[in-house]
Amino acid sequence: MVGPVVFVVVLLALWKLAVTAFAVPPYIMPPPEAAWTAFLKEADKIGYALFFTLRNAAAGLLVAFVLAIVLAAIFVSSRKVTHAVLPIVIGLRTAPVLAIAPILIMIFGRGIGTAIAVVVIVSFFPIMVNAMKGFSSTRKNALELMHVLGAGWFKTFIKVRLPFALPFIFAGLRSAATSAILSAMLAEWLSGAPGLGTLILDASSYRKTGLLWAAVIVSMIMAYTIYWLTTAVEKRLTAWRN
Amino acid sequence: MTDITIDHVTKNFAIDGRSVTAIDDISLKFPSGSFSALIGPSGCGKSTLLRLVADILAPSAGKITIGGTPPDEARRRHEIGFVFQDASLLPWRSVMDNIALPLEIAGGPIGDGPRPETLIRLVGLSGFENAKPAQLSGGMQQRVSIARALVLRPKILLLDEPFGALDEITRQRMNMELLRIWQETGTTAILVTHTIGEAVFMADQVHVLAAHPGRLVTTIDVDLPRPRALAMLQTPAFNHLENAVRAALFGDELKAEPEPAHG
Ligand SMILES: Nc1ncnc2c1ncn2[C@@H]1O[C@H](COP(=O)(O)OP(=O)(O)O)[C@@H](O)[C@H]1O
Ligand SMILES: [Mg+2]
Repeated sequence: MVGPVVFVVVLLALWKLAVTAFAVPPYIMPPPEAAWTAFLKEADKIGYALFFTLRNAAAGLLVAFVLAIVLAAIFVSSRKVTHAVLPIVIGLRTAPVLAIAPILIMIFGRGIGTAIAVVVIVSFFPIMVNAMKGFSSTRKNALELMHVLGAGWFKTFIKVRLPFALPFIFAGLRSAATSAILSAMLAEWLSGAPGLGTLILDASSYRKTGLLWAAVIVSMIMAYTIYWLTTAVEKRLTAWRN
Repeated sequence: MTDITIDHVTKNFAIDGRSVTAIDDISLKFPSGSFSALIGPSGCGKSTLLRLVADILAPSAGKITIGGTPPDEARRRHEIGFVFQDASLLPWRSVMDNIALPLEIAGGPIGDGPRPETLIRLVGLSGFENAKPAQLSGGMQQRVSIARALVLRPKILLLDEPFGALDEITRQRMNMELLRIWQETGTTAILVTHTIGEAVFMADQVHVLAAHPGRLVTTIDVDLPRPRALAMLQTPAFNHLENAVRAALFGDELKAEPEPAHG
């Protein structure tokens, strides 16, 4: 738990320093203690919003992860499918989420569906690209070994391709995980569903800068914690590399 | 009965659009339970031949049978043990788990196949059960890979320069162990090597290959008694056989006069 704590302390110190040194007016950026007061006063509201955002980000990330791994596994084993499907995937990726938001909302509604869809669109691509790189970097010798042993496609995938690809997959997952919170908030801005994003938007329009910054800080801490957790899991699973 | 028959096998590779003949019409027989060596200069198709037998590659022409059936059937029945030139262990698995990998794929031991614990003792790695490959020396890694190749009690054992990276002394020890294991298991073994002494010491038959294209030069029968002992290395019979292999490998080059030194 040392990592996140240091992160918060450094963040607060920089913040206080900046606000004091440049005499920033509170309606632009309040000092940390104002945000802290707002946080204590509206803790249940923030907690409630955080729950939605975290749930959506986690669900979206899970769907994105499974989808990315499955697609990557298919793409590295079949050229034909790759040629047929990869352009669609890339097209989906490059379409601005803002533009397709009405379509997403029409299909998935204003609740968790759209949120998951947005998180998936934003975060599955780095996981997939890295997983593809990982799956195709498997040592040829290991694949030949599995072949001689009479292993089928599935066992070869689970026992050899996936473990060899883990460092790559985690590189993708790390970048996806950090943007997942942001994507979940983006989805709230687009659909108006409850969550940290909507809370920030509301606080901003009512000029409650204390609450606004309390919510921003909470979202940043969450993003960092997720990043830190991913790294910790990665260290465990890929300890063999050292 | 698991003999291996190679019947007029040719293997072409496409390199940059043109076809290169790696193996040109080779016919060989490996009797059931025998120990054979393949020797020849690098690029003569030794590895390719072994990979054809193991069904990693398919011949361009000709036919291979293992105990009368096609190699892919033998492979699917988990009857082939293969020791690669580099140990090719899975780095995240312990010694024990690497050796047990074939069991996981076959869904358990085949017949009264040996237990991984027994094999670890057999290859002299007791105490290293939980070590990871990165913690082992090259020779130890290669022993793990031999144990792994033996765990399903394979009918045929293919070894592609398994001790190529080891020093002479370790290599000789490993060879003795390998012969002992081979004699215990009764498997049909093919050893690829480029060391003349090793080929003669290990094998019942030494098949000499030449390169460009890969082809069979001759087969030399080794009539040294078994079990083989290190003392045999110094006998006239052994030297005689070594010379025969050398003659087959170098052909007319051996008779040529040395080039006069330039002054
Ligand atoms: N996968 C491959 N693709 C193309 N050419 C290959 C391949 N494998 C082997 N060769 C060629 O076949 C010939 C024999 O190779 P190899 O069997 O590895 O020889 P050896 O093991 O006797 O050194 C070489 O000329 C090599 O370049
Ligand atoms: Mg070779």
